[in-house]
Amino acid sequence: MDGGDVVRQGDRAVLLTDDPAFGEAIASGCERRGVSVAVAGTGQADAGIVILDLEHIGSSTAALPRDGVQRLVAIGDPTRGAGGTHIDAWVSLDARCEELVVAITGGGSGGPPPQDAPRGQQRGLVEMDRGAGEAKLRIVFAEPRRLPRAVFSEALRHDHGFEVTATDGDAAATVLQAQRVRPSAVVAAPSRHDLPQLCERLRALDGAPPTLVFDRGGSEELLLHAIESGAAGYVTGHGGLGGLAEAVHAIANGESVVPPAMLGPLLRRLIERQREAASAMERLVVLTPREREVLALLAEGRDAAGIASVLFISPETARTHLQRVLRKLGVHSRREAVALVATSGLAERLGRMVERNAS
Amino acid sequence: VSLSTQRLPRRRDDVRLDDHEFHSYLVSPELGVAHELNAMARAVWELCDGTTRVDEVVDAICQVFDVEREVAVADVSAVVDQLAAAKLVGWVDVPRGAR
Repeated sequence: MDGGDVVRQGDRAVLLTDDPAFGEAIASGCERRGVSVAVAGTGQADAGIVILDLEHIGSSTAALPRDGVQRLVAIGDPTRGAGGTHIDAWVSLDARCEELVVAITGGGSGGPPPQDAPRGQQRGLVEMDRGAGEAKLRIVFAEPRRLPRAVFSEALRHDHGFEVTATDGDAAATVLQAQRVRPSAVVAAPSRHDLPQLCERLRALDGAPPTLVFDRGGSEELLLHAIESGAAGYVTGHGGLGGLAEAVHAIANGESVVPPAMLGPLLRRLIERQREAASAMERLVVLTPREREVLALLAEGRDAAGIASVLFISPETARTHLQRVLRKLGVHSRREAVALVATSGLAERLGRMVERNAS
Repeated sequence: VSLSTQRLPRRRDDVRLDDHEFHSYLVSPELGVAHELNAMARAVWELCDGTTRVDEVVDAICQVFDVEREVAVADVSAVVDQLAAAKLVGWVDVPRGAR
């Protein structure tokens, strides 16, 4: 391979990815820019130009076919490398689709520009589809990285008829856009930590648009987090763009969406949580009202001196209460006691018990 | 019968779960039949492990889907009863200390 060559017209380009939805979205975006890209599962490349989706390609870069490959393009983080495989052109997930096209063609013209190039560029409003004149399902698509944000929102708009407003995935920007455009649903690939905040703030809006968490790779942990955060649905890229579009329609119609193969493990995790909470609750009821107050204050992050000052008792008495709490809960440290309250979702119930005692 | 907290459904070890693109099937070589499962029935089947109570499954389903508890009870019970009638699951007693 020679990275300096301009790829000949007619050379076949194949994207290798385990994520069919991303593959279809990339192919659709490239097609609109005059470059034809086929999508294949990993290890099935038979083309002059091979594009690797390094985030979703498993560990098979070393097994790539070399014969006939003129140009190898990688989508991903160049600092993480490609397992020793020489890459002719890197395209970051924060690149524009046009940069991907240039990387594929090796600098040659990719064809005419797309008809709907990104317009608005102020923070939080990345792309906006304005008045198409017909009733389309309106969605907000929140994704922090530019390339997937661009190709997914374009493909959902052009290939599946949605009216799409794309944002950079930040919870505040997403809620702001939802407030403005009043969507039927919000499709979010947010960072884990602001998912509960996002779902809660969306539920509080007029019309309360349901949230569909779009996790390209699929993770049981993120699914559990999504459902516990109050998302109406969770979808992976495995069902392709059609699967994503179907899931959007379903949650917009008030349904809940979980991939069938992931429902059993999700219910199993929820049942484990219920059991942990029930077991922790059993331990909690043996505490005296004063000990519950002490535990609630401990869970708020107070030490013995802080607890003593709130309850108007001596630090020594607070320490005695703490020791009894630990013994009754069957834990060995204050940190363990706090974790027990937090992981079992008991903080709220404990707070209510303390309030009842106080009134 | 399914909601009994004294007995727990347990799937037969020799029954295989086959996933296809749109449907899942339970295949029993011994019984010589295949049963088609929808998404919820598939999940219920996975939870018929001899340690999980049917009411726990119902509670978890209510947490995921916006459905009345009575509806979930009826749906889950119907699935478990059908699996039991087809001899794909059996029943085990709850260990005495766990009741």
